[in-house]
Amino acid sequence: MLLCKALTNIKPVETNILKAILTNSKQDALLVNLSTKYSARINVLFESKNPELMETAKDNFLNSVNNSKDYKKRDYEKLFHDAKEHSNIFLAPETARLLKDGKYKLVEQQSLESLYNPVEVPALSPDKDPFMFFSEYLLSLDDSKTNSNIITKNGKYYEAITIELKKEIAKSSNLSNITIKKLIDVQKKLSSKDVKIYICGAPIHSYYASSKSVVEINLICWVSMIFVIGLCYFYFKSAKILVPILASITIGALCGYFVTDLIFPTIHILTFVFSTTLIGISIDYSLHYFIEKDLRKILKGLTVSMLTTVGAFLVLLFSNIELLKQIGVFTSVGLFSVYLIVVLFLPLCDSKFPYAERQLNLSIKLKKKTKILIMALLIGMIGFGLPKTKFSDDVKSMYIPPKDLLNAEKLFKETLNQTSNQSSNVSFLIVKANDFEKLMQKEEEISQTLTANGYKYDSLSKFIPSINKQNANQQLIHRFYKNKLNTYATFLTLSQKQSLLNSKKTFLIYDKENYPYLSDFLTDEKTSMMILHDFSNPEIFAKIENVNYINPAIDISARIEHCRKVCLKLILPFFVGLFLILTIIYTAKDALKLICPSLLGVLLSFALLGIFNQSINLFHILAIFLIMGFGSDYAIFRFSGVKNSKEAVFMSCTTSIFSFFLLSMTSFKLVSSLGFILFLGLLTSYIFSLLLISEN
Amino acid sequence: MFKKIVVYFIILLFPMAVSANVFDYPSSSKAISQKLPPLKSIACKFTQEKIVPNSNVVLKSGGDFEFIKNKGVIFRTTYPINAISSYKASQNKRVNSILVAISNKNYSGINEEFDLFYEKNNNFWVLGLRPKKASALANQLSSITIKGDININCIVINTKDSGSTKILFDSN
Repeated sequence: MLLCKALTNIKPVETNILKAILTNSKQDALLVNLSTKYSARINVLFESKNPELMETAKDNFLNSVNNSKDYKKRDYEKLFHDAKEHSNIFLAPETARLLKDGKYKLVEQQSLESLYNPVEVPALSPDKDPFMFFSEYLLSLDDSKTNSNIITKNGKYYEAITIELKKEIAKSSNLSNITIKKLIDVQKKLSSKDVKIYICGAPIHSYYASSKSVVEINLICWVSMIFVIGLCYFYFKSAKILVPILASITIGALCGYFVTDLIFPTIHILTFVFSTTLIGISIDYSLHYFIEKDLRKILKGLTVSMLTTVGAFLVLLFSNIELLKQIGVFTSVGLFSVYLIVVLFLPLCDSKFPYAERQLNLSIKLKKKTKILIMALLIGMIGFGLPKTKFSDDVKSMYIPPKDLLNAEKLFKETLNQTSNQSSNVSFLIVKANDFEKLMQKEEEISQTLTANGYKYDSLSKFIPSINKQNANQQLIHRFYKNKLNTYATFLTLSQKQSLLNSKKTFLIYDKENYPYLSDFLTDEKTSMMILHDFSNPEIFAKIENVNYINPAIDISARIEHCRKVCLKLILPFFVGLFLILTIIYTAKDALKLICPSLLGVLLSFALLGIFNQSINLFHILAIFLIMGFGSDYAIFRFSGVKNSKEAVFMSCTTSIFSFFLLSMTSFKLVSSLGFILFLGLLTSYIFSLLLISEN
Repeated sequence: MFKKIVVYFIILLFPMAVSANVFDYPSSSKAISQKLPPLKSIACKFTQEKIVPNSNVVLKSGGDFEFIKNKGVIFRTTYPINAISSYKASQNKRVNSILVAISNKNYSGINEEFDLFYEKNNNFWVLGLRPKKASALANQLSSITIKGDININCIVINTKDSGSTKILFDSN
């Protein structure tokens, strides 16, 4: 049934990096929405020693982009035309302040200077705008430091441009990746030894992350499979036995996939990366069965082991991190399915898969003194390393982009910083009001605070002021005209002056159809978004109601910090729960003995992170539960005293450790840090179980 | 006095004759940078005429002009008002950056926003700049014409609504 349901409803794979961390909750949806809106931007940088070749490459590049329907067209012609028709509704903030304060003489002086300024290009002719108010307003919108987007550095020319994916393309990882693939083809086609084209920005990161993840998934799967097949063949000397082992792994992985697919709206690509470790960890149950051959002897150990491991993975559901929830469901369902196959089906058909009995010589007899010495050394390392550990919740530290992409980002940032006042450090202000007019009025109130504090921002009300403001500006201009126009504008004819003095009030109304690009500022009709550049003082909005400050990088990091703290609080109840379960099955003393190796394994792994100056993130904390789940298995099987458990534990530990080692080699910091700590934790747990639990 | 009149005639009328249809001669930044003489720093007088559309009124002004190579232009208007327009002010950056680019023979910035035109006759040259269709400037500006010999002699800025500004430089 699961198979039918899943096969008829295959969902697209999610590749958006942010969605690995954020959930589909309303609170997170806003963060994702804001980040996606701003991260639909693709930054393009052209580099050449020859500016003409660079311009040709840029023109060709833009032609390709303009021919595609996947990108937003930023056509301001209609807005500029309409704004010129309603020029009296606009005033630069400084001019409005002076007119309000009645400083007419100063305004007149400044207007004369602008009028006679030989190098100022007026936006409207003097007969329509004798005081150059509209030109001043346009200048107040201009954020560029230079007239050109081109800089020169080390004898090379650099030009930065930004293009933007359409909303519907940016929202879909699959469509976005298809568009980026085409863009990369254009980049490759137009790049030559004379002109280099760099592309960067969030969609490019997502594209590379997903394509790299696909390669890594395939590679890890193949290497894990070869390792598992090689190890089984080496031990059992039979190819036939590989059939039930590989079948159980495949069925386990499929069950994990189908259930995850049913529960979550989409599966993140990093879940698939992690799920490759299922090959190494789900083989354990089959190995225990085939090495021992008698299910009755191992059923208790196998069941307790499955419960502790599945329980540990289910703890990930409390993490409030989408990726970890998916990993939790995928792996625990996969492991439970393999357990069921081993317990229910293997005893029925194992005679059909003959294999040679074999025993490895794994006994390394250590003297008590040596054991104590090794224990003292390891505990000494724990004591030395643990105080050095430090936490890091910065979301940026969880993703390290490829070198080329990082270099492109750096070059683009440098070029942008030299040509524009805009920065890559962007935060948002979500403004709410009862209707559109009140919304614009509120934006204008906030704008005054921002301008007074010298902050740069972009907002809808800058382009379409509230009706209230449009009315006020026209009144200010009309009053000023009545006072000064006749004496100032001696260069105008009487009729031209009369026309200006008698001009009727007009209003520019926001229209989504006419100015589609301005709709980016609105999340709905009563909610708008102001974009703040290099802003770091949200306290200034404390007294303004219905205003919500969002800095995605800081907010996501705060979310991760919150999750980390929640998970830290869960550790003690988890230990107590595990101890109680093991006490019920064994005794309190034995339970303590069984928990000890994995607990020490956790402590030593974290101490090693401290010694090597690696900061601890949420993913490391969550790995504690997994190490406890896996690590206690080794102790449980060793403790069971079953004849061949030593070999089964060694083999299953080897496959698991190898899988997590491969995972630690992946390019994604989120996943590789989880893989690395699990690799360390399982290895040290196994070593402690050898030292602390006697094989008898 | 006669000499002065002749000089004015050469400066103003001759290049204008040359430039009558500079926009019939499209060119490239590479070609222009090879042909155009390098411009040096200079200080001279300037006069400006701004034509008000839909009337016969011409706003006249004048004063001292200074061109500092690699930095930009400073216009010290002395009549009818006293004012300074320096390359440091943001509203002057567009025309300023064009002049600096021409003096440095670095047309990459200009090429980005304008289609280029060039005509030369003897020692007099005319450079025409017309905003590219995709450029935001195209809504505001029709063309810029710059004329000169070893120095810039005249700049004509034509705006979309038929307004026009002519700046003349007297470097002699």
